[in-house]
Amino acid sequence: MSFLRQIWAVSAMSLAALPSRAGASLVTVVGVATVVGVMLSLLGIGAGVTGALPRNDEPGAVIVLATSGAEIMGSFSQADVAQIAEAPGVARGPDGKPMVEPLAGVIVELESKAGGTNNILFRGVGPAADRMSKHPLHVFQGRRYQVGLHELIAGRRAQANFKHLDVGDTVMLRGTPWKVVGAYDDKGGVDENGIVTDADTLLAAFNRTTYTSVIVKLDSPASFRRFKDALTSNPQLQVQVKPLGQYYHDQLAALNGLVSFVGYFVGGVMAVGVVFGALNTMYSAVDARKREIATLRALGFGGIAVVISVVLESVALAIPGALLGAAAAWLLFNNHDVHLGGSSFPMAVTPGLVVLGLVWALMIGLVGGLAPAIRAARLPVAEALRAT
Amino acid sequence: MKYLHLVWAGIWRRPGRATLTLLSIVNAFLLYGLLQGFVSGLGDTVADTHADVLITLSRVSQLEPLPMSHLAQIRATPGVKSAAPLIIFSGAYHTARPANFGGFAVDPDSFVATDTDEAIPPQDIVALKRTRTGVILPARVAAQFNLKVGDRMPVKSLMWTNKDGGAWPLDVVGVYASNPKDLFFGSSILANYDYVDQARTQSTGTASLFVVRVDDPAQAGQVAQRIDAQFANSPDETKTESEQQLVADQIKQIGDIGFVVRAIVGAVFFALLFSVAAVMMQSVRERTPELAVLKTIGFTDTTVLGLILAEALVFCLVSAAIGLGLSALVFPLAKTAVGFRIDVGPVLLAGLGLALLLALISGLPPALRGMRLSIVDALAGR
Repeated sequence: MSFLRQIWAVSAMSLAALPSRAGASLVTVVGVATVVGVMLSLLGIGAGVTGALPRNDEPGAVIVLATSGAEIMGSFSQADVAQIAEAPGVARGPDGKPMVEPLAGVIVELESKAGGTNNILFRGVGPAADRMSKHPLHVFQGRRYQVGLHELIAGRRAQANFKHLDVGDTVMLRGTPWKVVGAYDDKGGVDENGIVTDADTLLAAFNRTTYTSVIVKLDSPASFRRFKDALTSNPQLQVQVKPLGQYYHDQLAALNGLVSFVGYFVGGVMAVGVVFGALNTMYSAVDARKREIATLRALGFGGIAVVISVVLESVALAIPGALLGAAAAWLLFNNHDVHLGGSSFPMAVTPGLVVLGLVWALMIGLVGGLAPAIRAARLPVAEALRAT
Repeated sequence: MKYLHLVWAGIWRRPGRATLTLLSIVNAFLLYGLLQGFVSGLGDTVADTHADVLITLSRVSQLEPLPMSHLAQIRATPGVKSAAPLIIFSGAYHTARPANFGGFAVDPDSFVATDTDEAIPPQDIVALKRTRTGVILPARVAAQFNLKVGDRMPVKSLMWTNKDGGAWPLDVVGVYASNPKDLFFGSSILANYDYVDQARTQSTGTASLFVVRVDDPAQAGQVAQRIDAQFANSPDETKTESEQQLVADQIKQIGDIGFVVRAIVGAVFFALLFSVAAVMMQSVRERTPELAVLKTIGFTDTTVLGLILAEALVFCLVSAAIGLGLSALVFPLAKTAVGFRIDVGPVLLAGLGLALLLALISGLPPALRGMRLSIVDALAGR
């Protein structure tokens, strides 16, 4: 108990003396704030990417892709789709038909609002799309496209990033005018970056005869293994099969991995620099209090209490810095749109990231305070008392 | 110059503090060098590409194939020297840890006639023509997978499925010296157009793009317009750009890297400025009596100002030089990782400029304080 009281007394004293060293202390606060601010901003991009997972995936939904694994590169004829529909484990709708949905995806270039052109995914879906998903794309403005007409609906984010995608506009795609008849959202999912029409209409307009991927609803998630084995062992099909959620997750995970690596790398290197600054601050703090510390030691205060008080002071400087940095990152960048490889994502400075920033600051504070603390505890009492 | 030892002694008056400050400056400039070097590397990549080589792509998107019937029309366009069809054939080698590489399926004769950058040995081209499943590897890829002429190389294409299923069984017929300056073809594997086109499950009879060399580089813009005009309003409209423009566009597609890097560097230097300025101020405050003594024995106010500024300058420049030097050492590694050459000269120069600025801003307030010191007050400890 008296040990705790000692710590309390020494810490209270050193914290009370903080304002007198405002300049040096500010260095740690500002340093930690910039590290945490920069790191959370970079990681916030990654969090925004993963936060954009499509909302329409559900257990039992499976995507059949070309072996290359790209949604837009597959080549599925009507016969292939029929074979997939007959595979074991495929769910049947109320009408008794297998719940199989061929998709046609092409990448097209549209005029970007930021200037120049940019890629956008033009996806064709079949009439079964709504039956298949519990959360079909929600058309919030205008209406759905009519099958057979050159009509499309545009995602909310696509509208924000590209010209000519407002309801009522017409876009030229492969020499054909397409009318934008509606706008959809996907609760913030990445699918909002695309434009959508009927699959067969899209194939005809792009002079293709084969679908690019197939979505299948299984009667239960447990049927996945059976379904996958049946397709991959079929010599007439060259496909790979993934749960739909997994497929989207894998796609975004690669992007998120890259951004996170940059975030941790930059955050790590900056943190090393700030540790040097924090060490400086705490060494001068200990220096300035040599006599006080020696007096306490002479009065019988333990070395550990002194160590803890110095480390506590260092942490006490780092934590406000972290909060300041997190607040700056949140104010500047939360919900800020970043453009990555043709899609845009709202950055997300999440509570989890703020906690990570606090942990990072704690580490900086601990490492920056420990060596000066040990020096403080080892001060030869008699010599320090004589110091001027 | 004669005061250099005085400046040096001032810097190392507190060795512990000086070392820590030095390390934090080194650290900041290391980060600056790495990030800025990467950005300028992207810029150099653009500058290295040809203005007289045009790339014809589908106007629909870069991934949309163009019919081979376009080739004859492009070749007949006035101002076109030669044109070659290419299929993008990026893939991965089937190993325990697959690694991706760029690749193209090319028509050997027209490719060599059109793209003159590559030092592909003529006998390799002959071998590629003779071996339907042949592939010529850039030295880098050959070394990476330990492949040599005569080896079988199963390649999994990122885009194209082989009718026979699974991987593409290619046979290594040649190895050429990689050209790190050429982003497009410098480190790509080269397979046969005919083989890939006929064996793929879809898009047979098309090319991903056409490479076009023009007679007169000054006319490249007009030739590009002429090519696109021929296919206007057809289902397969084209977009012809110089290689340079295309690379610049692709870099832009990744995102605004330049802005992100500037923001990070800005934040780093903001924090560093605080830290260095505080250390300088503290150091001068501690030395007040010493400075007063200097003035007593005849140093003028301006000399004291100069001494303190010089201290800041020498300290910042030395630390920055160490940090930039370290980043220059890392660049060769980074080059193999990102695959393009990085010209470090301008980055290092700009870094030293930044160090100069840092020294002036952080050194000026303490230097002014030193200059204004009155001897009597300072010696009296007021």
